[in-house]
Amino acid sequence: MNWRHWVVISGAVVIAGMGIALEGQPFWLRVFTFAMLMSAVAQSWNLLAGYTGQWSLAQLAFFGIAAYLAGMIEIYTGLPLLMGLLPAVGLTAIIAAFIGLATLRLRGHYFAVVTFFMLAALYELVRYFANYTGGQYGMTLPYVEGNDILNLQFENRLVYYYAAFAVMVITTGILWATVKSPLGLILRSIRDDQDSAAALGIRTLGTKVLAMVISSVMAGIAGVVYLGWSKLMDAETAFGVHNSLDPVVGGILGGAGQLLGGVVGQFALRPIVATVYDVFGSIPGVSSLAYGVILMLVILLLPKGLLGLKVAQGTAGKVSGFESFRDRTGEKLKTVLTGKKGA
Amino acid sequence: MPLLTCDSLTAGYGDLIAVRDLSLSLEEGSLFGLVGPNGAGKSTLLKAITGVVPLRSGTVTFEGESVGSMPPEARARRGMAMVQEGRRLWPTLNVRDNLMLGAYHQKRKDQKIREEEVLELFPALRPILKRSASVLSGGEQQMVAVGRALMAQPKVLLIDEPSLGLAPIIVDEIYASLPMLLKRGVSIILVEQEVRRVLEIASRLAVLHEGEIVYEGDGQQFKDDPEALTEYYLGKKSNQEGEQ
Amino acid sequence: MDVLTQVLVSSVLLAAVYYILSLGLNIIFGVLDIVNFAHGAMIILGAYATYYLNALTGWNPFVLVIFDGIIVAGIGAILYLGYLRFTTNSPLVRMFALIGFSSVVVAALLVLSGSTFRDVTVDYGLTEIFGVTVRVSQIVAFFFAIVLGAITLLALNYTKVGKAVNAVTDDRVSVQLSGINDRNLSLLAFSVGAGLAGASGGVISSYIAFIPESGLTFAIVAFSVVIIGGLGDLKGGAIAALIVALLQTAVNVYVSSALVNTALFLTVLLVLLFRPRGILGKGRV
Repeated sequence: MNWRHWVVISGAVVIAGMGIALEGQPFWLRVFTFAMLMSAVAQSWNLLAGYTGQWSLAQLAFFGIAAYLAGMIEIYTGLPLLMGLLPAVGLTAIIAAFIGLATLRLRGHYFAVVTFFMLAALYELVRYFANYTGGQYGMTLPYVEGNDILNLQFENRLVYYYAAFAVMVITTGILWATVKSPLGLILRSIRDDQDSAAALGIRTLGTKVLAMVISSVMAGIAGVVYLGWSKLMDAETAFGVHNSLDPVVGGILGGAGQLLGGVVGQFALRPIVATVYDVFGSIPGVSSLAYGVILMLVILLLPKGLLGLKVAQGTAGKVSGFESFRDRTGEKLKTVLTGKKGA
Repeated sequence: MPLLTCDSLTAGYGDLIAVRDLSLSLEEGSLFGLVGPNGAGKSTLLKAITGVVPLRSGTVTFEGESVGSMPPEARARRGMAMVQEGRRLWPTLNVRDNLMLGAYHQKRKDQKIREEEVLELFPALRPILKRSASVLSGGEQQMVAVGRALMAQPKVLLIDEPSLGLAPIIVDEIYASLPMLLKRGVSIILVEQEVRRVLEIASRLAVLHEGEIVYEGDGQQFKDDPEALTEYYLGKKSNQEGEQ
Repeated sequence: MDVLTQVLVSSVLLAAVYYILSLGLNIIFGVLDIVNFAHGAMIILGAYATYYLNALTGWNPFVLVIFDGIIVAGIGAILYLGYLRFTTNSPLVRMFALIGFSSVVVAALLVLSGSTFRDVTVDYGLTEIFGVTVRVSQIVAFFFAIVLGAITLLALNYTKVGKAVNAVTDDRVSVQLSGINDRNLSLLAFSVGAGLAGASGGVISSYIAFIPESGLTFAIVAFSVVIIGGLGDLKGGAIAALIVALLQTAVNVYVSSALVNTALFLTVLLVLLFRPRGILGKGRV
C-alpha cells in the first residue's frame, strides 16, 4: 500500500460522497453519472489501446450493441433490464469475439481505419433494421412509475449515480485484474513488440481477441446501465462518429496505458463538455468543437495524458514521486551550497 | 589538418550503445578502411558521422567545422556522401533519376556533367539509364548507389559494405573504381567485411570490436600475417592504449 | 440491360472524381506515413470554399476549384507547420490528432453555416451517353477530375520536386543523405494532399448539395479507394476508384442505398485481410 493506493481510495470515497452532496443539483448529478458510465467505456478503450496497442475508433459500439440487445430483449421477451444485462453483455462478448477475429489481424492505422468503417457500417445497419431498432428515432424503453430494480428504474436520480459508480468501480476492477494478471503482461508485450511476442510463441491473435472481448464486457455493462438511466438508445449515441470520439479523448486525456486513465480522463472531460454545452448548447456543433480542440491540445501538450505527467508518475519503479522529488531537490541544494556537481 | 575527425563519439539505439567513445581521423586524399565482425558498430559509426543516427556524446568535425548537431542533409551539403548498406535506391524512379537526385541542388547543365563523370566511371550504366531501379541487378544497383553519392561531388565518401550480397566479379569492378575516386580528390571511409580487399587499397586501417577500436594503423603487417588480424577481430588483442 | 448500362456509365463518371478524392490521401500516406483522418474535413472545406466564393463573386464552381485547392492547401500548410510537426512522431498519434482537427473543422462549419444543405450545383442540362441520360455537369466534373489527376501525376513523375517526393516515399534517409531537405518535401506533400482534397471537394460541390457532415461520406469513399488500390499506390488507386464507384452504384441500385457503407466496410475488410497491399499488390504495408 503506497501513497498511490491511498490517493485512489480517498478519490473513490470523495466521489461516493459527492453523490449525496450533489443531490440538489440535477445538472451536475447528471454530468457525473454520465462521466462514470463513460469512464467504463474509456477504460475499455484503454485496455485495447493503452495496454494492447490496438487503437480503436469504435469502442463505443460495444456500449451501444449491449444497450440495444438488452433493450430488445426487454421489448421482445419481457425480461427486465437488470436480468437482461447478463445475456446482453454475453451476446456482446460473442459479437466482439467475431469482430476481433476479423479485424485484429490488422495493426496500427489499418486497424483504426477498419474500426472507422465498422462504425459507419453499424450506423447504417441499425437504421436499416429500423423495424427492430427504432431506426433513426432510436429505441425507447417504457417509463415505469416508481422504483423497479429489475428494470433499473429508480425515482431518485441519485440511485443512478451510485449505479454508475458501481459500474465504474467494477469496470476499473476488471481492467486492474486483467492488467495485473499474466494476461496483462502478455498484452503489454504484444503492444511493445508484437513480432517478438509471436516469436516467443505467444498466440497474438487469440490474446488480442480476448482483450477485445473483455473490453466489450466493460463497455457493455455501462451500456445497459446507461439504457436504464436514459431509457433511450439511438444510432447516433451508439455509432455516431462524434460520440465515438468520447472514450478515445477520455482515454488519451487521462493517459492511455494508465490504470485510471479512463476515469481521470472522463472526470476531466465531462465537466468541460457539459459546461460548453450549457453555455453554447443552442449552437449545434459546439460540443464536437470542444472534443476536437481538447484532443488536439492533449496530443500536442500531454501526449501521455494527465496521468503521464511527472507529478503523477513519480519515477517508474520503487521510488515514489515524493521521494524522487525530495532526492532531486536535495541534489540541487547540495550543488548550490558546495558549488560542486555530484556527491 | 585531417579532413574528418571523430572525437570520443558515442552513439546507439535506445538502450543499446553501439559505438563507444570512439575517435578516428581521415586524412585528405586517403582511404580509411574499417573492419570488424557483425555488430561491432561499423554501420552505426558511419550513420553517426553522417547524422542518420544522433550522437550521444562526442563530436564530428568536418573541414574544421563541428557538424555533430547538424541534420543529415546539412552535412551532405557540406560535402559528405554515403553509400548505404544494401544500396537503398529509389525503386519508383529510373537510374537516371536516381542519379539526378544526388545532384538535386545543381543546375541542369552541371547535373549533366556530373552524370557524364559517373558514366565514365561506370560505363555499364550507360545503356540502362532509363531502366527502373526496381529491376536492376545487385552490381548495377551498387554502381548506381555509388554514382548517386558522387553526383554531389563530395569531399568525403562513406561506403558501407559494398561487397554485401554481390558476386566477386562485380565487387572487383566496384573496387577498381575506388583508386580513380581517390585520384579525383575524394577521400573515402570504407566499411567492409572482406578484409583482404580493404588491405589492398587502404592506407589506414581500423578494427572495430564491440563498439571500440582495437587496432589502428597502416595494416600492412596483416598482409603477411592474417592470423594476427583475427586476434584483433575477435577482441583478443588491442593496440590502443588503455585497453585490455 | 438498361439498368446495367446506367450503372456502368454512372460508375465511370464517378470513378474519375473518386480518384482525385483519393489522391491527396495517398500522397500524404506515401510521404508522411500518416493516414490523414482530416481528409474528409479538407474535402468539405473545399466545397464550402466554393459556396462562399461563389456567393461572393458569382463565379462558376468549376472555375473556383483552383481557388479551393489553394485555400485548403494553405490550411494544410498551416496545420502542418503550426501543429502537426510538433506532435509525437508516431503515425498513430498523428492520425488521432487529425481526427481532432477534423472535428474542429466540421464543428466550425456547423457554427458558421448551420445544417442547411448548401447547393452550388450547376445546371448545364441533360444529355445521353450510350442511351443513358446524364447531367452535363457530371461530364464536366469527369473531365475536370481527369485533368486534375493528370496534372498531379505528371508533376509527380516528371518534375524534379515530384521525383524527390517519390524518392521520399521510397526511402527518406537516402533523400536526406543526398542533401535534400526532406522536411520541406513533407510540408509540400501535406499541403498538396490537402489542396487536392479541397479541389476535389470543389468538383463534387458542382453536382451534389452538402452539409458539414458530408465530409464523412466522401472520406469513406476516399479511404476505400486508397485501401483497395493499395496505400501509396497511385496506379492501383485508379482501378480501385472504378471498383468503388461500381460497388457503390451497384449496391445502391440492386440492393439498397442504405447498405452502401456496410458493403464498403466488408470489401475493405476482405482486402485488408487477404490482399493488404491492394489490387496491384504495390501498396505499402
